[in-house]
Amino acid sequence: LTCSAEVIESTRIRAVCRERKRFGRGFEVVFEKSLWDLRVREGRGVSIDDLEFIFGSEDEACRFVNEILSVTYNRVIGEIQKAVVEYLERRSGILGIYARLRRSPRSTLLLFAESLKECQVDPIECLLQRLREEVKALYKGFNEKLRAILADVPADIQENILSAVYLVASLQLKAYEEDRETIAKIIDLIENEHKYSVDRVLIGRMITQQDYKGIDKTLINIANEIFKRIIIWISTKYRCPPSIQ
Amino acid sequence: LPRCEKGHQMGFDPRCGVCGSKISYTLSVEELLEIPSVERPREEAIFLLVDYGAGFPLQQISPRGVYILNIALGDEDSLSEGLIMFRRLRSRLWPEYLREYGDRLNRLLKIHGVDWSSNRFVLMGSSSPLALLTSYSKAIDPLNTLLITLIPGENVSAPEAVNSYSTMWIIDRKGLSSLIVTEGFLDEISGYSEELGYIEGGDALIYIIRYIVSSSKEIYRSVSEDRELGIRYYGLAAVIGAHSTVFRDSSHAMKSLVYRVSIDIAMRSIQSIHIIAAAPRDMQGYIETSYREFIRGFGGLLNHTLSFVEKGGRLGTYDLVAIIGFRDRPEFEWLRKAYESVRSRNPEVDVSLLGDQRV
Repeated sequence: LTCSAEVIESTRIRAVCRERKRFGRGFEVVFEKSLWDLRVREGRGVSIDDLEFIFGSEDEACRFVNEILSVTYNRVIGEIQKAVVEYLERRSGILGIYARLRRSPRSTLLLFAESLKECQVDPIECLLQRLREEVKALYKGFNEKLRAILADVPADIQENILSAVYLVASLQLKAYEEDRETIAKIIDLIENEHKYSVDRVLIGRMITQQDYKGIDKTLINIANEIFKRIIIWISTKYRCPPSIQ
Repeated sequence: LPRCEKGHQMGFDPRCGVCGSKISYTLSVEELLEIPSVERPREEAIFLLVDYGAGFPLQQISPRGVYILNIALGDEDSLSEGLIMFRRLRSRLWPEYLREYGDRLNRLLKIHGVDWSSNRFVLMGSSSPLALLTSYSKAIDPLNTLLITLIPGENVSAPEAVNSYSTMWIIDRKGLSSLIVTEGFLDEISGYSEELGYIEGGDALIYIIRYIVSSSKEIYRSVSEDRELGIRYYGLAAVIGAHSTVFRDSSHAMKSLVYRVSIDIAMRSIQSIHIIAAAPRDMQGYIETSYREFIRGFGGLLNHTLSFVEKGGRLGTYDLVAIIGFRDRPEFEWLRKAYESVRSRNPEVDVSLLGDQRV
């Protein structure tokens, strides 16, 4: 049998094997596999589902693994990273109003006096309701994007990626809420689950100074660092040096 | 809050308190919809100044924790912290103002957090159309508000008399508690303060009100008790800068209070007396003894209290402020006559036609 393989679409590979026969037609077998089914790399061999590709050297096998990762996990994580940054930035606008409402409710309500015209109940509740609706709409778009990006990702890796998203987004809310006790707990979880050490003193100082821009920037850095660690964690499964952009 | 693998809501802890499983981030990510509530601020007191003139020395009655809101008329609408200003209309009578600004005032009072304190004071010149709008407003709760209502003298113009009479009518109908201060009282009140020197008129009134606001908790307790006893109208009296060289003892100073009340009332109709005494700490015992003696001389009082406020000073002067509750709704004949005369020609000013749902 002689076999050839090519990547079709972005995440599928097709292997075609033909019987070498001097006379007659022989036979041909076609295998199509999803690159998400990358299983293991051992020596020069790379298994995708039940197919094993043998390369000339371990380096070549790892290059192949890294190519697969770049169109699967690394691409997904890159897209998630972008979506998370956009989500955090847009949410910070809403949370900024929330933080201001907590800190100086009167001046915040006066700022929104015109839009509270129809408010029939407590104006703080009316403004909060509006913020909740905005957060909901923002989350809806973000969640749809997240689900679409993660559709093909195996559950354990999905959980790991969502852990980063959830913990960083929760940290953002708690920072605007100045809830230091919960912030400490979230940082514990980040450190335990992602082995990333967060600068607690810096975050504490920015909360005291109400430096929300600084907080957002730090959170985006934390998210990016966690995602980098997830990429490394995935590539160590295949014992190949990661190719991080 | 995050959810565990079994769906229980849990804290940001490694394990769920109910079932011991880990956080499920797939489930928890849905919780990002949350925005927690904001606690309503609590303020010591809120003081509304209704159309009381731009030169009012606000800072003098602004103890910490008291929010002062000026509700005024001006050349244009304006809104900022401490101020609601409505554009002055062509008419001077309240109906046009109520149509134009009534709902907006309700809304703006709420936005200004008028209900963030259960101790609300409203100082208003009743001849302003805004006095009626404020007392009529849904945001002004009779149970938590003490009005200080200024009543114009007999030479008041007809539109002002209509506004003033209508405001008093609303106060009565809505069951608000009000301290009544007549223009004549403002002309007469004066005294000596170690800190400010000789004070009179509006300045003296502010000096007195400062004590009422800074003893807001005690005053509100007394006014609430009085409400339960059916007392809602008060006169104000004060001795500013009393000294032993003028009054033989402080019980004499207290006795003099009932001859200095901000509204004409018969002695026999007095039903409650609440005195705020501001004096150096070492005079507290002496003042309390004088107070007991003073009260013994009164028959038929339903309620009485003494609040002591420590006040510094080198000359040994003390101030007495009395809030004197009486039985009957006060009548101001000249206001009623002017009101009736305008109403017979302009039925729109008939305050009794105002809807009950907001009163």
